[in-house]
Amino acid sequence: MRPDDRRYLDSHEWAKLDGDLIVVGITDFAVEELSNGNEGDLVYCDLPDVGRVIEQGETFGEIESVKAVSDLNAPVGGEIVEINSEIEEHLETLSQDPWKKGWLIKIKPDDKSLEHLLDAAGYEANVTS
Amino acid sequence: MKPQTWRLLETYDVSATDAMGLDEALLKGVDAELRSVPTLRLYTWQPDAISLGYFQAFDDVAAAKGHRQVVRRLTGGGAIHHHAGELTFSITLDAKDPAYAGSVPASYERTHEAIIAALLSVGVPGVCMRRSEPSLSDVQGTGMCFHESTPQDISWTSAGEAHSRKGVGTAQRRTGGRILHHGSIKVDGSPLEEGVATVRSAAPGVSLESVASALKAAIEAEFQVGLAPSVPTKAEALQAFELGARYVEPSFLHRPRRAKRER
Repeated sequence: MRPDDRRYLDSHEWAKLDGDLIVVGITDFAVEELSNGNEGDLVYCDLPDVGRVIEQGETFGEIESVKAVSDLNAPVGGEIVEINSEIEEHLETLSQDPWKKGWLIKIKPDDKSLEHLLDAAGYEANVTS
Repeated sequence: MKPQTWRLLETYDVSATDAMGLDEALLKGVDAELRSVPTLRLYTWQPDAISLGYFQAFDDVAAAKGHRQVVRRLTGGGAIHHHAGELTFSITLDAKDPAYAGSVPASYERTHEAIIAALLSVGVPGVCMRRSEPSLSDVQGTGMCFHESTPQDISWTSAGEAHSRKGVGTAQRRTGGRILHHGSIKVDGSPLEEGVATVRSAAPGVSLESVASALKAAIEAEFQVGLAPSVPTKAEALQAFELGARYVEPSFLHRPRRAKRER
């Protein structure tokens, strides 16, 4: 079971409320899909500049594995106030800890509600169907 | 049960911008009526061109410097020389289409099974996925796709050699619930990609056209579909023209990027 302290997109991003901010990352399922269990298969991650304003659902970055280039999609709209620049240099962190150290961006949201996203059970059902 | 029908587009000798523009139009599914129909596209490039992987730095690819035609693909991986002896294909479909349902690696395996079947059928012996075998075509530092191999890459052995060389390059783009799967089959070699496996080095006399025919038949068999020959719709052609221009824009071709992880 994935952590139930956050919400999920069916495109495999997670979003967690942290004070006034929304922390965003990708799930272990996404990492496994991209890396095929080999952390060295993740080769590149392009994150946005701090200060960029994004809309809900907008692509905020891209991640490349030896298999595929995939979009990273914003779970909420708002201003990007912090990026995890360590990730771009240390993609293995995504494999080792996608839920905490592997966060990607922090958004100051237009609306803090995450109700429009999947809960852990809903996401679980999505990836096992 | 009636087999599903895929669209077949054969657009040979297209310009580099038309090559990339139409694939993006298909990826976006710009023609709403055809969006749910998977498309197999076979094409060749005229004049020859170098395509960079989506995240590659232009300056990391020696072959691109000074080449008269260079584009950046939407798909990742290394650079490819698209010349007269190279057959490019693309498969575009919804991510939820049964053909590509399941994991990313599973979709590769299935597509690669079809390519392997096609190459075996035209007489290339010993075609297989490389798995853990060493690859004799690997060359460090060129930035070329065919000089860098992964375990799922399609390879075959030349006469007298103990190990195989890469002869097919593939890469995927996943965006907006859609998938673009690019593939490149080397019928003949290029001086910009020395040492790779080619169809004709293993099966002399086989034409690019016969490889294309074999690939169509193998895709139909592997995915249990029928291919319906078609042409780009007006909407697709218009979008392809407009989208294609971006692929040669200096801002896209030479775009800055953050540091890339060493592999």
